[in-house]
Amino acid sequence: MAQPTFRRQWVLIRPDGTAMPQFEDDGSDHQTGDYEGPVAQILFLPISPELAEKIKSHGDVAEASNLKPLEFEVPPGAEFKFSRFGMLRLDPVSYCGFCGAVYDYEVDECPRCLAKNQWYCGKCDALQKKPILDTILATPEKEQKIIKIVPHLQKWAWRIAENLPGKWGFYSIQARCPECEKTDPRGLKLVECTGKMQSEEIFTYYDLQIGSERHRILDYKLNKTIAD
Amino acid sequence: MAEVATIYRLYGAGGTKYSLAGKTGRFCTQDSDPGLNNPCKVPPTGEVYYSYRVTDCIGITGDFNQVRDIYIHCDGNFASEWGLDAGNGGGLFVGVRDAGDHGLPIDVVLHGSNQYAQAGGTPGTTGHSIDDSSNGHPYYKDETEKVRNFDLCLANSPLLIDSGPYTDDFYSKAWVLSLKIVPTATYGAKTPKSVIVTYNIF
Repeated sequence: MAQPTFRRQWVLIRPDGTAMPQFEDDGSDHQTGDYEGPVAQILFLPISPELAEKIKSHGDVAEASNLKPLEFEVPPGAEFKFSRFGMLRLDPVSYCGFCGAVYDYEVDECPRCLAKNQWYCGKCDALQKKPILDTILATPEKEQKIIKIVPHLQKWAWRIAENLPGKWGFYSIQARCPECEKTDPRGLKLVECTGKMQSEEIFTYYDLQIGSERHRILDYKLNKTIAD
Repeated sequence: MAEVATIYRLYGAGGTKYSLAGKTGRFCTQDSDPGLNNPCKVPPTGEVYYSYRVTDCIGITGDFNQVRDIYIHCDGNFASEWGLDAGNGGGLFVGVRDAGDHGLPIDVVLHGSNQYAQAGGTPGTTGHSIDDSSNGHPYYKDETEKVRNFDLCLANSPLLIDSGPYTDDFYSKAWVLSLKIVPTATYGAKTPKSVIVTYNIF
């Protein structure tokens, strides 16, 4: 289940000067289709921390922001169309079983609490930080072979396998204890502290048409710096 | 309160809806949530295998005046990133209609009819292609185009699933996807990828 996160709100200004904001002072909301009368101006204003809390009390999701205020004039008689779009994305992400952080799919270690999947040796009764990892490859005909891949490239084992001559694919990993290897080789048990899942997130934007001009107003939080 | 949206996958003879929230929606060779069971297979030379087709829809609840124009698209890299060998015909394909919405009606009240058809095939080996003349999807197999490479459904050319409009809580028409796996496809686990659903809400 996903809900849109509002970081800015629209305010319709009628020709008589009265205003209809997306969110009332108590945080209750209006939809873009609630008002179909004449409009003189439309504003997009950032959500304040106080309003964000009130919006949340009504079950919606809001974040205070410092997004730039936008202002559009609607000339009398000009065609005016305004609606919101939702873009639901299912994206692969990693999550931490300890602190609940959700982070980039390609990152194996939780950036908040540094939790990561560990290998446990039952004989040593200890976690092994540097297990002996054998990557097992297989062909569609079930032929298998073992290769060594350096630890920091292990997550790309499937891609490395694809680039080997023949029809090799990644099959599995065998992990062994480096301490026990000298006398009594033993396999290790994976202790999963992090996992992979799909996030479900709605991104919102507004489509605004005034006369022959069309605007797309984003309500995204950008994760990278905008160049000056 | 604004809308709450969820993607559902339909399984079983009756098309029971299962939420994909927090899950990875896998392509496999069985008609139920597979976990890691029954993965897709690369066929021997001279054969083509398919995943069991999946039937997905979006459900929206909450306060709104109208929702309409539901589209899906992707980044266009399913075949290349999953090693499906598009040059030899492999890829991810979506069912399409010759006219109107491309989505599959799955609810008599909301869509006028229920055209859901359970996915079939040989569990653990291959499913039936959507466009197969005998075992294909009844709603798509007799159309002219039948299926479209989903990698062609991009942000600037999305696929119209359901024009709506809906004025109350609803499930949309569904999109039907299936992997076509050729003998030259690469073997192994694949990185998850995104399907993006866009809707217009008033």
